[in-house]
Amino acid sequence: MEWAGDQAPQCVAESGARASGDTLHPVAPVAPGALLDTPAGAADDAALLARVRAGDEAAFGVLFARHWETVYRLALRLVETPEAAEDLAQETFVRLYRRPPDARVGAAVRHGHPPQPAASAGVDTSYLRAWLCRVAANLGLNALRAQRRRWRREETHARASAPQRGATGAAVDSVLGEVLAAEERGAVQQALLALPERQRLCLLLRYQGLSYTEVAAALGVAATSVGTLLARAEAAFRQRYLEQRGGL
Amino acid sequence: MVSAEVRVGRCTGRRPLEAGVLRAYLDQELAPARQQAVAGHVASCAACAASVARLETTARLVARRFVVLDAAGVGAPIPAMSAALVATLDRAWRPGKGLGGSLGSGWSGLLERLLWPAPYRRPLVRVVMGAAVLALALAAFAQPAVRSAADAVVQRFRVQRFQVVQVDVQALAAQMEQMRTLAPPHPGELGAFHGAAEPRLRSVTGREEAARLAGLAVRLPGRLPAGVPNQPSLFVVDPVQFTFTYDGQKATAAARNWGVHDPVALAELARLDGLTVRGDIPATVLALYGEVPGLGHGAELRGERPAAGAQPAAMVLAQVRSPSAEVLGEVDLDALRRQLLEIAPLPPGLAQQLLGITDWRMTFPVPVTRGTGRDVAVDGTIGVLVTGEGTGPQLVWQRDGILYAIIGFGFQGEAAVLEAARSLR
Repeated sequence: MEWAGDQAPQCVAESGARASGDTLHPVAPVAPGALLDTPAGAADDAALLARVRAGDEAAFGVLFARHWETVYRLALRLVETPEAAEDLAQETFVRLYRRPPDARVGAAVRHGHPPQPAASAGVDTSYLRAWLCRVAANLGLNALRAQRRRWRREETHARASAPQRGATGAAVDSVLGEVLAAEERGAVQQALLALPERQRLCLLLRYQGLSYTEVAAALGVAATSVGTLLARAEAAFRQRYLEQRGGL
Repeated sequence: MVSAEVRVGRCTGRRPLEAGVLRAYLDQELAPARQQAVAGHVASCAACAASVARLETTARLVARRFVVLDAAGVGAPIPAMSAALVATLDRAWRPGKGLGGSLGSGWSGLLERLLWPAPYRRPLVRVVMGAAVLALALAAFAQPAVRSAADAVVQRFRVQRFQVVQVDVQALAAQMEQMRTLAPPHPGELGAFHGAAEPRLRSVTGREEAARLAGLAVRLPGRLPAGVPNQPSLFVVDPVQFTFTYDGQKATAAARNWGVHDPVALAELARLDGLTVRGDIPATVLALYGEVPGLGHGAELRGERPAAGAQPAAMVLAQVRSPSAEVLGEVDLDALRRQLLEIAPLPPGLAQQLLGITDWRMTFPVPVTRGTGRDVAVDGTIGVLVTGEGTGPQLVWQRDGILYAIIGFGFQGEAAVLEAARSLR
């Protein structure tokens, strides 16, 4: 996500004073790029998370800025409208605000299991991003299931009952295209829903761009087992999808 | 089901590589040394090379399916982040967290919650509270200036009335977007607050104890809204004293952020560096009738009503000796207040309303986003009734130097809170 190097994080930092028992301690101003582009992304997330737990809204704002787009895009894959996706993404961050994850999110990977250093150094050791994506994925999958139950009850697919547009060929084509696309989307979602939960989440997170380490953190497994899980999940997904569509 | 472990022939290595390792290798997610070792092996082992190829085919097919999931979002813009943040903070507000450093989290959180409950516009309440603190802080005097023994001028003021201020949440969010800022303006940008951050909420056994702790004669309603329990739970919130010290340097920096560059204006702002306001919020008595909810709902932001029956009928009555503040120094607070309100990045309508409050020296602004507020006769004086704003009607007034607030939850009828107010004894 581009942060156009403007002064927004600095404003946040300056005004994000935290009330302590006596004096307010203004947050030291930080150069705009530093917060979001540092290779030590995970450390920054952890530090900001600690401040969020203490009620620092400015720190929350920075985390929000950092991860909003990823979470939103993930949500968009599972729900029907951009509005629903935004609502879901907001709900994810609300969870972050109300019940921020503790340090064990990352520690499970680092300490409880054989640590596997990320092959690619850089910003992908962001356990908070993993946590956020997991929350969003769960919310999205719940919404997806609820949506499908509604459709089954109504015995119609809202998307497939495309509006009866004009009789021109172009309109019909676009309507057909929409219907096909909607059906395809439904088939992919259906295949996802048919998987065991861990495989399902593994796919969603991995294909949202999370690293093995992040996926491991989100799922509470050893980083070394992500490869196995992913291979199984992909094979299972392919199988389910084929059952739906009768051929790729 | 296609097994990920089927191999063509047998692996030539001493320990056959598992699908998981090969998959990680494919994604280049192995440790560099291992990555290289596996690469070397795959180059020379037909079985493993075939496995990798199979894994890659499957992965590519899956990836294509996931691209399909994105189709709905193609072309749709990412929602404006500042607006999303405002909305998120609104949903996420929790009691006791307060204004992020303005007045002290415990008491202000409670005040916010009582006077402006769900849907609680926390960021914009900060704005308005900030403006209110400014107004109080920069007020000229409800009482004439007095000269103390040390011959310093002390200006005193005290909340005596309330006035509705209409706030447009969308305008606020849009303005934040325009300012490319993540937080609305608040007093922390103009100076430093010192004071108790977490005043305690104490449970008390009865009226007498509450009266003793709060130093006022506790009044309770004789008539309650339908469905609300008869017996209240009584609490007393600790008193709070705070000091706000205006910091000229911070204020000019903030003004610059707000787009003010006129050197004369900036010099004016810097001149009052060190101006100090001392505030005193006495102990507050809370009478809770029923279950009071936690937080607002995002649905409210979009104008949807929360599901009926989600909130059982409840009511809160708060009473406190009118908070007061004093300013040390013979300064033209009127001019400073006007200056700040004119340049602060508030939605235009809001600044105008605040500037337009005639007796702002003793007036506390009540922000209203969707509902309406009006003056009502209550308890022998004039109060402000807000309806259509949260999960119930809100009524505030001042009498004999004591502020009262009644907030309803889970019902909309205004008559009920008026009745409760008129039956206080």
